[in-house]
Amino acid sequence: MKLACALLPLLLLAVPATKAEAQLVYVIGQRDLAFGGVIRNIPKHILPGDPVRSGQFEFRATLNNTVRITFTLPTRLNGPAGATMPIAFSTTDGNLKGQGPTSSLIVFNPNAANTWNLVSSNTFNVWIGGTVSPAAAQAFGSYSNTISMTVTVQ
Amino acid sequence: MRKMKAVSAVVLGLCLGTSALSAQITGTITATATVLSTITVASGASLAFGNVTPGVAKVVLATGAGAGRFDVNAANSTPVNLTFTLPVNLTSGANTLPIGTWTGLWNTLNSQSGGTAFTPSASATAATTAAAGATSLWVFVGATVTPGGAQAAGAYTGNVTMGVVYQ
Repeated sequence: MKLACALLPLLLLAVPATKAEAQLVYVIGQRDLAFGGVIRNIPKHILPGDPVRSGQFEFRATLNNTVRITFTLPTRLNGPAGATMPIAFSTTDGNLKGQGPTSSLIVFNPNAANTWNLVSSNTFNVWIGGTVSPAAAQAFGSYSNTISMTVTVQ
Repeated sequence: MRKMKAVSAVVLGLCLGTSALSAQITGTITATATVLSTITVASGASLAFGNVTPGVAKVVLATGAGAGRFDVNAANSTPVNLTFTLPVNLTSGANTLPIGTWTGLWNTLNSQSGGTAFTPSASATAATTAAAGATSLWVFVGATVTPGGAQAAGAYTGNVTMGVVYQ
């Protein structure tokens, strides 16, 4: 009887940890959202389908789970000597596609939380586009900021 | 027995904490952009064939005398794409003179030697501007005119248009 009581906590410790690790394996940023050269007073939009310039993430989770994807999106890129440049994301600037053969492309709004059930793939690519709007007197130079994507298994 | 309950509660708490952390992961990328100066293109020199003889083709190479030249002001050390709208005929009133076999050369110096040869076309040609200087790219073009045996006399002209955009 004493032996059975002692084992119970050890089982509780082992089982949930193993399940959680299997549900969500990884999330990685694979490619920066690169606007390249932009001209003063001329907005530049990069489509999420751009094979070179769109931002790209990859995540893997266990099939038949529900995942929730949220982004932390900047409203400004930071440039030289404190200069900033507006950046915005439209309701169709997110693309998602599983790597499974039957997966199809999904267009989504990266400004909102999105929830999907994983039924055909366990590994997904997520692409993000956006628009920068340099001002008429925008300071020349390089600008950047961070885009974060969080995947939660529900 | 009281001691055993306390140990169980602590272990269960650890389990829940591990589960919640493992089910949410964040990845990051960077959004980048570079604000560049506006591109301007000036006509440096006209593509000049001079006098031509009916029935005799005349070639002006991009590397030779008579080549046309565009002078590009753009941000330094920056990749750009060059595109061309090219005539297939020069005109003199209602008369036409075929022109083709275009040749091109871009350089970060105002020189026809040491540049990069290319074939001008509507498709983009990649080039890179000079590391310094307001005028940071020079583009030379050549072509061949082919007068017919009964080519009408006169002065023939046409427009060669080059577009430049940042990559």
